[in-house]
Parts: sequence; C-alpha cells; structure tokens
Amino acid sequence: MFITARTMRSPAMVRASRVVQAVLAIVFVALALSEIGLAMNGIFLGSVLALGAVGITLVFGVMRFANIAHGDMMTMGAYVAFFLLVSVLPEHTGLGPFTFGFPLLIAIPVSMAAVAALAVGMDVFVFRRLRLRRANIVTIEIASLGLAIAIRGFIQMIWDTPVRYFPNEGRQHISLPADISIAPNHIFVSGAALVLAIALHLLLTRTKQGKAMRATSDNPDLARASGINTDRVLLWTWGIAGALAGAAGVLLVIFNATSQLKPTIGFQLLVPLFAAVVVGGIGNPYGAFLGAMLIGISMEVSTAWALPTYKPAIAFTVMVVVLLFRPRGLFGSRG
Amino acid sequence: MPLLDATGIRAGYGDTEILHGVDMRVDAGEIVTIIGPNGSGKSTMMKSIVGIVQASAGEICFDGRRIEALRADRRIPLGLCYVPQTENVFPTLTITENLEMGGFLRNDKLDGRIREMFELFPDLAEKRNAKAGALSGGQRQMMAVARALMLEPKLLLLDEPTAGLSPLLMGTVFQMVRDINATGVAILMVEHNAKKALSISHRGYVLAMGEVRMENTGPELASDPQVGRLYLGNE
Repeated sequence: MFITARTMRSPAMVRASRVVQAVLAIVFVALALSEIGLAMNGIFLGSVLALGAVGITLVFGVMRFANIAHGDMMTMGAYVAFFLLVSVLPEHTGLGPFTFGFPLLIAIPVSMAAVAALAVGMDVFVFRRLRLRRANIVTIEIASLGLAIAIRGFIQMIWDTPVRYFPNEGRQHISLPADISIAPNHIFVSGAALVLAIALHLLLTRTKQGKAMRATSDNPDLARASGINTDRVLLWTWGIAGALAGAAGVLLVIFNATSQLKPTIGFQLLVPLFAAVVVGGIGNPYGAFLGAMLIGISMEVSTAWALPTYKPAIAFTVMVVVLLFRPRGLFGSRG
Repeated sequence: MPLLDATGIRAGYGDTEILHGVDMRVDAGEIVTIIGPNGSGKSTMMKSIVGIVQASAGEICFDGRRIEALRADRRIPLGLCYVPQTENVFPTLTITENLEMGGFLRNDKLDGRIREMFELFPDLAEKRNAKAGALSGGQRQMMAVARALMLEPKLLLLDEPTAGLSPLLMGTVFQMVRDINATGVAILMVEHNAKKALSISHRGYVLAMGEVRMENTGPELASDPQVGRLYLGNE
C-alpha cells in the first residue's frame, strides 16, 4: 500500500499548516494595505495577467499542455491593434480622461478576432495533426515553443524590433485620498478585463457550448461518449483563449504609461502568467483569475522594498509558497 | 435482426491487441452480461462498441447500420449510450449540468427529460445544484446512469455498474437495471458480480484472453459448473 504525504500528516501538523497559512494570508493583506497605492496597481496589473492566465488555463483544461506561445499571441494582439491605429483607423487620442482615442475601442475587438483566428489556425495546422499522430507531451510543448518563436519572428519581420507606441496623449492621474493617484487608463484596463471575465463566466455557465467546454475539460472520453464533438470544443477553446490573449495584448500596451510595445512584451510576461495559472490551480479559469490578482498585487507591492527587476522572481516565490501548502493550487482539482 | 451485431472485433491500445476477433450480439429488449477474468477485454469490447477505442478489424452493426467507422460522438445519436466503470460523471459540473451534457444532442424537451430523470432518481433531484464530484459512490452511479438515459437510448452499455458499492446498493443498482430494461431499453453490461448479473440477464458471454469462450442464457451460464469454477469462484 502506498503511504501518501497526506496520510503521514498528523492532526497537529495539519493544524500547524493551517495556522501558518492564516498568518501568511494576514501578512499578505497587511503588506497590501500598508502600500495601498501599489496594491491597487497590482490589481490593475492582475487584470491584464488574468486575461492571459485564463486563456492558458482553458487550453490546458482541454489539451493538457501549457501553451508557451500564449505570451506571443498577446504580443500579436498588441501589434494588430498598433497596425490598425497607425495605418487603418482615423487618428484620434485623448478620449475623455484616457490617453488613447476612440479607435482603440474598435481595435480591441478586431485584435481579439485576429488572435482568435491565429489560435484556431495553430490548432488546425499544428496541434490537431500532433494529436492525430498521438504525439507525446514533450513534442507538443516543443511545437508550442516553436510557434512562440515563429510568431515573434513574424512580428519582427513586419514591424522590426524598435520600441513602438500606440497614438497617445498625456493625461493627468486621478487623485484619491491617502496620496493615491490612479492612471485613468488603469481603470479602463480593469473595467475591460472585468467585462471579459464576466462574459466568459456567463459563457461557461449559461451556454451549451460553455458547459461542453467544462465537460470536455473534466473528462474528454465521457464528453465524446455523451455525443459532444470534442474537436469542435477544442476549436472553441482555442478561439476564446486567443480572443482573450488579443485583448490582453492591447490592454497590456495601454497599461504602460507611454503605451509602448515591442516584440517581447508578451513573452516577458510568461513567468507571472504561468505563476498565476499554477497558483490558481491548473485548468481552473476562476482560480487563474484570482491567482493573477494575487501575483499582480505581490509583484507591485514588492517594489516598495525590492527593485522592479525582481518582480518575476517575486511571482515565482509566491507560487512556490502557495504550492508548499496547497500542492494543487488554490482551486486545483487535479495534480 | 439483432439490435447490436458485432463480428470479428479486433481492438487494443497502441500495438497491444486486447480483443482477437470477438463476436457478440444484443437483441432488442435484452439484458446481456459479459463476464470474465481481469484483463480479458470486457471493458475494451464496450469501448469498441461505443467508439472510444477504435476497432482495428471487424464489423459493428447497430440498428441495421454499420457504425465501426464512425466517431464516438456520431454513434451516440443512433441510440447507443455508455456508462464507464470509473470517471463516469463530470465532477465539476452540477447534477443538472451533467444531465444537460447527457442530453447534449437533444434539441427539444431537454427540461422535460431532466424532470423525468429526477422522478426516476429522487436522490439526485434533492441535490440538483450540487457538484457531481461531491456525490457518494451510489449516487454517483445513479448520476452516471441518468446521464446516459438522457438521450433515451435503445441500447445502454454499463461497465461494472456495481463496482465499489455496498451489497445493499448493489441490489438497488440491479433493480434499477431491470426497471430500465422494463421500459424497453436493451442493456449490455460488464459485471464483476457475475452470479447476480447473470441471474437477471437474458443471455451472457464469457470472455477470456480477448476471445468469447462461452455463450448461453444468463441462468444457464450462472449454473454452469465450468463457469462457476473458472470465473465465479465456486469450488
């Protein structure tokens, strides 16, 4: 008989673990409250991370692999918007309190559609073929890495490597009590992320296709035995993950004070994105959303004491601490 | 004409062939039980019929139509529903959502059929908004069968429906099998509790090493001394 780590834990150890978890949670909240301005920035950053992390976790749920190309899909979303804003749509900046103009509101859904199409294409032309050949997980991960490099290479080929900027106009921050100032763009970013998260929640819980996605994530064989066309579910999942990545890419650019973009912006975000996915519990979109908030707040609050270059290290440290106490993440159902 | 007529089925996993040319049939309205030792290919036969495992050779006719080349999700609409031995519910979906997924292919009367299932399984009705992963073993088995019945199948395939259940619950499940059969649904069942399963079956098959070794009526197989000695644990 196997003796698992869980069965070896005495009641005293379980109690001690719970006490430590409670203390860690209190410390986290206290630190966030002591740097409330940074914590709010963390929530805004977490909003962008959440859109990316939810996409990664959705794909993992039905495909059982971590899509390394997800960061570069976000970058592609940002560059599609850049192309539209600079070359197609009329010039306009300074919509209300925001640095961007109304064309961005058109660019976001177009970028979402473009990256959704890219994601579906990736499945049809690469991942489906690998599935049919019963490729192992390592092969699929390497294909995903290859696609990441290919997408970045395509972006560099078309738009070159220098830093680019969305058309933007300087805007005053909004001042709040306790010396807190908020960039209006950040409110837009969080609002847009929240709207998309609610739309996804409604899709997953209220529509037949959304429930089929959750069913396929739970048990693909049983889904097929229930008459669900799981190949179609996979395409839907890729499309939704791609659309969220496209939106996240655009929001990531306007999250930045100078609205700058470069071919590596999405790739550089992979570490916190995967940390958020793992912290939330791999395969659980709600967990990924909360994991992204936890990682975002931790990264931003840490800058009160550490150099911003350490932010990815903070993200992974938080992930390791969570896994020490909850090996399946905060909301994980599988190992 | 039999409802299900499988002939010369060869199937397996990767390079390993488990079934070496199995013939099997189920007539309309029958209960048919497959028994046999572990590894004999009972579950693989069920999966081959439903299309989760693709048969490498052989013919499967269901309701007069050849189905061996169809994907699983194309076989289900023909009236063929399957309850696996394990992992037979969607654990993070509620009971109602599980039933909705069972009726995924229905375009009408979904609510009405769900109400019928709740009348048939009152225990599930009480927990309709609970996650299926939180159900007890017996309730989970009811849930799995109810999910499979959502499409009003002509043939229900049950893989070890009493596995892991207490003797009391086993009796409940066998009674449920008879009740479902009484509504006209044919049942093909793999069952470890062979004596009891054969006693309620019209016919039975003994499978060993991926081949059919015996075929007879359920009661006669249950009383066959050779079957008893080899597969039922009789001295």
